[in-house]
Amino acid sequence: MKKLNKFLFLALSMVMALSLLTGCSKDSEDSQLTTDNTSVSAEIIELDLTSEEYAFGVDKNQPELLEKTNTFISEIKADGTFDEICNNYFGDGTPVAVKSAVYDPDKDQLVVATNAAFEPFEYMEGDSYYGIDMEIAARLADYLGMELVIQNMDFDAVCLSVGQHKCDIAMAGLTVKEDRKEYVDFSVSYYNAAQKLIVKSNDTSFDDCSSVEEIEAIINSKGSGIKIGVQNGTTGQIYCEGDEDWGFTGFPAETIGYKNGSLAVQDLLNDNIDYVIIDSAPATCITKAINEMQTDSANASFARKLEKFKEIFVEQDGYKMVLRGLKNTLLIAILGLIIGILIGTVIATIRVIPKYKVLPRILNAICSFYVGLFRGTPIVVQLLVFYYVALPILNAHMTGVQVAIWVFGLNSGAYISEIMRSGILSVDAGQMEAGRAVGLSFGTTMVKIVIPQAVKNILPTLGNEFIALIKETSVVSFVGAADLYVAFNYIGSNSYEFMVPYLVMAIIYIVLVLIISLGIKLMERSLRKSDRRN
Amino acid sequence: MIDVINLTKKFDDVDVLNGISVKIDKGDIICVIGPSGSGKSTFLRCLNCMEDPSGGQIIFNGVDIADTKVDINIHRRKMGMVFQHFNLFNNKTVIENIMLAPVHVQVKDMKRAKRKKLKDDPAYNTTKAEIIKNARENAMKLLERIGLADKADVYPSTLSGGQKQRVAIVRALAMNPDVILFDEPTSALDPEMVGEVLDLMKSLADEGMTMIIVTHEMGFAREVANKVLFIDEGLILESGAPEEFFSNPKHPRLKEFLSKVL
Ligand SMILES: Nc1ncnc2c1ncn2[C@@H]1O[C@H](COP(=O)(O)OP(=O)(O)OP(=O)(O)O)[C@@H](O)[C@H]1O
Ligand SMILES: [Mg+2]
Repeated sequence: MKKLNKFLFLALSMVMALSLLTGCSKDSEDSQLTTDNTSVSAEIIELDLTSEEYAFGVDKNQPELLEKTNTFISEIKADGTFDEICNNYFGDGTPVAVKSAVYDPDKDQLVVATNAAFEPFEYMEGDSYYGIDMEIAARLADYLGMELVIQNMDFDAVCLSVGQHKCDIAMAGLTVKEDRKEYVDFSVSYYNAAQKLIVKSNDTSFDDCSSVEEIEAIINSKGSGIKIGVQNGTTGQIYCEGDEDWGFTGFPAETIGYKNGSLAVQDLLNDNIDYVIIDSAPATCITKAINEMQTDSANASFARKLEKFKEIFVEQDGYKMVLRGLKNTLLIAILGLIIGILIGTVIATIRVIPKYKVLPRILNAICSFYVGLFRGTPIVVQLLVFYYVALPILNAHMTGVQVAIWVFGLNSGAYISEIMRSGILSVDAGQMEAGRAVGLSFGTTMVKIVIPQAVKNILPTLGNEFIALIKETSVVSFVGAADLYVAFNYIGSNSYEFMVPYLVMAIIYIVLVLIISLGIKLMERSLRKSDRRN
Repeated sequence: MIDVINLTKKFDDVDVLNGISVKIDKGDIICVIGPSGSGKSTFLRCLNCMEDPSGGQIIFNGVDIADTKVDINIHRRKMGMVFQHFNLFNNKTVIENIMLAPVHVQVKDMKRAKRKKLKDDPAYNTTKAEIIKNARENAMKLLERIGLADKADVYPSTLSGGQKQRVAIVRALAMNPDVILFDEPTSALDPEMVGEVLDLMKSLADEGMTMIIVTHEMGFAREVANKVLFIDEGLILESGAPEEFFSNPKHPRLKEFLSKVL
């Protein structure tokens, strides 16, 4: 009865917290949550901070290929194909995988030289190529009626290999530069990689600027006390941090990296950073979408956010992603727990074997090492090492979810072994003696008598471990597993609005944990049948 | 049946048993008495190698089980043990407590016989279901004998101390042992429950079961035992038939001990 009350209380307080949140935004202007932002919007300073022209480099011996490529570029620019491709990387589209055929000199193939380490223009996932250049390459090959072969090499080798006529065309986010014209004929430029500065609309510091130098001077004059938001790994980040090769001197300001541009702009409006510097194409769509929401009144703003969330969640199949994320989260936590219990039980058993002989001692040392290793490193590090170090060395292929299941299993095995050991030690030694005295082996007695009692003793602690697992799975996006967090992050970045998705995510986690706690209570009760003391 | 030759036991550097030799024949009821800490429990636990002997031999049915190379589990099946604190399996019902070991070893034997195609071995022709059925019938018979048939499916935590110890005794019996070792089977019981346990042990004695009993129940020892051992400081200081042993003790330590407990 007491437990039921506790559960009801929790549920009730959750509902109250929620109604408080919504009630807050229904109140008029004085609501703390949003007033600061209602009048402020994000504004792009219309000056290109950096400017690079990207073009393809064509084999000097193939003037007809150059001509066709130029025609092709103007066609895809005119009919919106190019924008569509860009949208796959900067907007709400999904990147399309591009496959390379096997090189065969007897076939009519288009051999593309690239350096697939330059997201979003070219990069690899598994054995597929992705990126703006790669999708264009696929369409160009189609257009020419040839088979596409992609040759991945060092960036330095890209121009050279075309210059030596080994490849037909270089498509590698190649900036048009004089010295490269020795090797290749450049097509017309297809992309203007410019970085833009985004500020809050009430920030007038840059209003009188007419040149990039003036903007840079102002940012420099603010010193190291300000923060600039950028998208991780983009030119904007390199521009802010400075890089000799690129000719960027950088700013003294602190650079804050975000997963995507819209999170950065959101943070700008939340007053956490001072400026945002991102690619001009995404900058335009992000500011537009966010400003639409900001200009509303607080009340309408929340309603609009909900509306937006509903739109993506229901109409654009966001719920499917959430269900898939939920499935992955549960899959990782449950299978991880099962693996953890198996490993933990074996280790705990090894650690309680009497140690007169050499073998148990060696096994014990190995187990201590294992436990120390997994308890001494953060789970994120384990995930990354497993995915990016261990798998390539073993030459094994696993999906992110499989990796997550194994790493969480191995990790919780270390923790559960300690829990299990205390459980085993809490079982009266007479139980083991009685088992041995009737002629059962150590292992049989352990499995049939001691471990079941140990598990009963540690069930609440195991339940907590499971709950911890559920919550910790939110880091698996590091290895590309799509869990709940990834699903809601997707909804957030597609609606340029994170408040409602993150709130719903939090509620789902709370509900999950409450359900599990209840399940554990019921299980404990049924297991207690054999034990009158409780 | 059991020949103990110069048995010694050390815990780290402490000598607990200092050379015990005794011969136990089939049907013997041996009671072991002695002051606290004298090594009675250690002696008993060495007999079935719950403690590995440090030296000496224990010849059981012709095999030296003190030798660490023998598979002790096989021999323990024929040596039941009853503990002071009962040690019933808490996660098993009463009848499961009794059936567990017989079923386990018989199923193991059956699998082994089938694997090795030992067509002449009786274990070859049984099935698991049959083994379980027989074990259950046997367990029910044993429970009826101690009047606890109605408790077959309850967990041990619901039994009284006397009931637990009687179940523990029939659990040992279910393996058809050649000998049963008792370590102070009644010392943890309330006085009114001691009788029921001793009565059960007496009836076993009457049936000719070989028993070695560490006890403080002098009356019981006198009545049931055919040989009494007095152990002090890890040595058998005196042994003999109960009449002579109790009425005419010779060793001064035994005289002193008896004067205290009687
Ligand atoms: N596992 C052990 N490790 C170290 N010393 C032990 C161990 N078991 C027993 N001893 C010591 O061996 C000696 C004999 O113990 P034992 O239990 O055999 O005595 P006992 O005659 O059965 O006494 P009691 O009548 O109190 O049961 C004691 O001094 C005890 O402290
Ligand atoms: Mg004792």
